[in-house]
Amino acid sequence: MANSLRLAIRKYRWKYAGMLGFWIQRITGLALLAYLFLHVKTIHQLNDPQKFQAALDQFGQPLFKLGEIGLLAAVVAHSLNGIRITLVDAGYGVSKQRQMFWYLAIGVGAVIFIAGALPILIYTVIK
Amino acid sequence: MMRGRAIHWWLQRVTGAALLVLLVLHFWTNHYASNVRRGELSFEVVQQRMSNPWMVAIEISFLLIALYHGLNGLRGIILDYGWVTPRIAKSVTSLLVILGLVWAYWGVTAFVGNRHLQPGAPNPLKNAVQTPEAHVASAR
Repeated sequence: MANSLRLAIRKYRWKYAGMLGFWIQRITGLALLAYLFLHVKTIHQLNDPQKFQAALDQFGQPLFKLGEIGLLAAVVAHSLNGIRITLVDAGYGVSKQRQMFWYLAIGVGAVIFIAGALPILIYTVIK
Repeated sequence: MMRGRAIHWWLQRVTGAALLVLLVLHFWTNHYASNVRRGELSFEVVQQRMSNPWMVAIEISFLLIALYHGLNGLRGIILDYGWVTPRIAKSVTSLLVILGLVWAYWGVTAFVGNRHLQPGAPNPLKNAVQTPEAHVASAR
């Protein structure tokens, strides 16, 4: 009992790239699906231009622009970690999957995220 | 339980790759192009963009592929739990398929059958003088 508990705690440690990647994929995936619901709700208002314009005006607010930056972070993390998962599934870089997590998903991801987030921040939040 | 279902595992990769391409296009044009970045996004901008059938086709395929990928992912998460028996799994799958169809219809009807997106449709938010073509289109 104590042994299996110790084993479980070790297996689920955060320091393991696979565990982090697993949770990142799960949480960002669920968040993106929830966002898709809200997004379709807004897009459907194209049938009612007044409502649609009101929604657009709201989304131009700094708070919503910060939300858009969060969306970018979720999308970039999910995409790059997804590429890593696909590569490992296909048998490429299995022994390098940890490095792929840190350098590809986190490293390259951070660069793309900053490159994408800065213009939004500068143009719409700070102005 | 996995028999005959590996196709969904495989399709999750294929749709993931497709989404990556569509996402870059979508993010660039809809969230990032200069007028959007400067906060000049308006109904008129979207109306003009979506009067191009190719843009509508890209958006609709993006929606359908994203829905499949997202709901298939959700199915994977739910079926990951130990208490889900094959019978429950079947109902979960059916429910998600129905949810997906309704969701897809909701999204597609934003464009298809939307009179504001017909070619030459006037901007209802503008009281400016309409062009003769727009008059004809709105009278139809």
